[in-house]
Amino acid sequence: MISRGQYYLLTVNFTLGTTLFVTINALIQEAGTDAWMMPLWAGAYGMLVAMLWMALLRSSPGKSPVEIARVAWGPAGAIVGVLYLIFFCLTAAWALRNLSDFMNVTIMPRTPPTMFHVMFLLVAGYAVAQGSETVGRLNALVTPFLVVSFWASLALATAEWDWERLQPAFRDPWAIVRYPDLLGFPFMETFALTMLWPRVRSGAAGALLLGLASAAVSISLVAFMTVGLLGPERAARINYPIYTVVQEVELGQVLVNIHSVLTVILITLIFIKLLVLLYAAFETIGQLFRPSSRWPHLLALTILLSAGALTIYENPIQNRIQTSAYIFIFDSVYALLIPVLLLITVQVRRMIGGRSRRS
Amino acid sequence: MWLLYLGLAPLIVLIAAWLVRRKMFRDTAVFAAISLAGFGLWASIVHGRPIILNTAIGRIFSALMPWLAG
Amino acid sequence: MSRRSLAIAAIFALLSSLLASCWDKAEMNELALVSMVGLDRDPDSGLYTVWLQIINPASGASAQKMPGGEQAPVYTYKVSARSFAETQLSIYKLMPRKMFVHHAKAIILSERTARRGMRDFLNFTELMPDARSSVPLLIADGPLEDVMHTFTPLERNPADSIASRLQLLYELGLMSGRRIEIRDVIERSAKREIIVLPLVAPTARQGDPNSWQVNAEIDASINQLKVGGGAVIRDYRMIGRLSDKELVLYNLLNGSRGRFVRRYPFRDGHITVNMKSRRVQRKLEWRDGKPFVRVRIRLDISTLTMSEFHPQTMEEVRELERHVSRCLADELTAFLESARGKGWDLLRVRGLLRRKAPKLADLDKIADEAEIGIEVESRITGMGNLSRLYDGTGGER
Repeated sequence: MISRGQYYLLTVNFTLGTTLFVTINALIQEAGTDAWMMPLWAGAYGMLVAMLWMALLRSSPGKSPVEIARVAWGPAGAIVGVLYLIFFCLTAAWALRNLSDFMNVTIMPRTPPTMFHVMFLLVAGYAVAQGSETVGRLNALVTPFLVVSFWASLALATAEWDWERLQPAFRDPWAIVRYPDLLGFPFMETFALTMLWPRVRSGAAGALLLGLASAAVSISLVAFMTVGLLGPERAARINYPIYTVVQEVELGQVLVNIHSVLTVILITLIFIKLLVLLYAAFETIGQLFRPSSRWPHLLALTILLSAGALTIYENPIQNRIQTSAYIFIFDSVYALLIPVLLLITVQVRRMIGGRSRRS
Repeated sequence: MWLLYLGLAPLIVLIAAWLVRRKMFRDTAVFAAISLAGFGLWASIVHGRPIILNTAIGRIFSALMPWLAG
Repeated sequence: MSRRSLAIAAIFALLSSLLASCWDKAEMNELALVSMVGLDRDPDSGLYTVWLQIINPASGASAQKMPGGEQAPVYTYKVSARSFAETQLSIYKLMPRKMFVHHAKAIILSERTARRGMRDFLNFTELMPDARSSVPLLIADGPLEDVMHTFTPLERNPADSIASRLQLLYELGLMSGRRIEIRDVIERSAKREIIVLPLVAPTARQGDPNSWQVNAEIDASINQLKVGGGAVIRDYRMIGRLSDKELVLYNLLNGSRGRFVRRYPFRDGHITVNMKSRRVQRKLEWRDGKPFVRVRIRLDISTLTMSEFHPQTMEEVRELERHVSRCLADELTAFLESARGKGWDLLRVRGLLRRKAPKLADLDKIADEAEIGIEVESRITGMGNLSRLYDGTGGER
């Protein structure tokens, strides 16, 4: 069982995970100097959708969505469960591939990507096998280091701040409507956290909502600072702008190469994201098939995900083209459509059951 | 390429056999399903014709869209 | 349970042998630390030439006392190829260590490359994830070959010498700006604004001295590098030069905060004033539908350098302040007018309009025709060591 504080931190780190370095460039390309507004709208949307999940989870306390599907729809529910398993596996493969792309481009160009994938999966698998307490406590333990290092590095970079870069402001506040990808990734992907919901002792609702809000504000602040430090022209072209921001930090004449700190922070954030996704996938398997052993399935997932990470997309350019076409629909099916149908089914059943009991 | 067949395949087979010996048949089925899916993906990578998941999802949605809209 | 822990520990131990840094490790003595880079492109043959100045690790303080004479503090490698990428590879025909550009202190472009355009080079730099764009960019005023093969006295690493000179010129003379880095060139050119980069030139040559000879020569003005003047860059191209005097005015107008010195006619002689700009404000106002840029400069004057005249009464103080303000405002206005005559928007009016009035049509034309009003306000705040100058004969007046 994990506490609500740990659940909150898991939500924040999960949402921030790959977002901080995959989407900032795209955000600034789409909205220019007003890029900081997009995460705020997306976060508000995410919170609304999360309330839908909460309604579903509260209707059957102690059960995760997969279990609810099993109970509500019987054998069809098993298929839904498998669909969710595929969803979690795809997202995990995505996160892994984002990580290895980032590492290969910036700081470790010669390491084969599979090394990153397999290492992460084995360590994450071991953590997941120990249960939700390990996941929650591990995250709670690393978060202070992440937060302090990350914001300290960015604070050091503000020596190069220039308000002129952020002007003219408020020219495009509704860019989110034209580019709804941010609604899907990361805010609807946070559905994976609902698999952890039954393990939270109390107060999960508040923790989830507050976590989504905190993450949205963080992303917004990072986009804001990126524009203020690099300018919209550079930030819209550089693939990993935060890395460049920290790379150009110069503390006196001495501390000039602190960007490896940022690399470690980003690796850890992605690891947390992978941890939650792997946990969700593992729980799904557990709830669908009730196996007696743990590690063989984690090993199988490692094999599957390490292959998936290599084949999830051809290259980052193709990834951007494909995701901008389908990510919103793809995430909506899992995070909106199915939960809504489930909720309706459960409520209808309850109403019918109530009526038949009364009569 | 041989690494796949010499390393991964025996690994899967051995673990599956161990599970069968422990009479955990359901576990074997689940393990086999997932790891064989993984093996299939790896085989496609190693043989130079990877199944790009991105494109597959895109195709599924393109096929579904007219059905949903119409 | 402990058997399982042992098994897991064994697995992790085995895997750690495959730790990722096996592929990407870099030992210090396998690296060539680049301190300065020179770039040139021959427009006729299309050949790119790159000079890399590598720090010689054996030339540190302890190594100097060893017998065998002095080692050169830097080595310059030169390579030519058809593209920048090829030069990066061909350098290894000469260089035995892996290039490490993280600590580069200066990049120098030849004037002809600057005049033709440096956009491709900047794209190339930004594509490299390990090259920092926060490095000063200078233009060579003279043959780049000579610049890259010149030692400097006192500060033995030429790149350090240049970097510290730029810093000193900025702090004490405003003859260098703050925004002289690669990323500034990119930002300004992407917005079609002007930026001014420093020039570096080789000084008079006498023979072909090596590092030991340069360090043993008493005349520090020959056989070394000189930093000064400005190259005006717009749209990634060099379009002109600024003299030292103009450079100070340009930096002042653009908000740089260093000290600088001005010599103005006063009474029946001259007066040398040491000033520090406290605040430069650029405001966009509208008069009859036409834009008017009001520039307000607030300065602190010090009597530190006024060896010709020292004010004794409040009237003299105020007279001096007013006089200096007027002279500086006139100088700035004349400077801006001559710059506008050449079509240089050195006050970056266009950028101001773009930020404050983005919906205007035909921004360039309006920027060209905008009126500029300069107001200078100076106050004597700093003092030299004397409260009254020595008088009598034996001076200029």
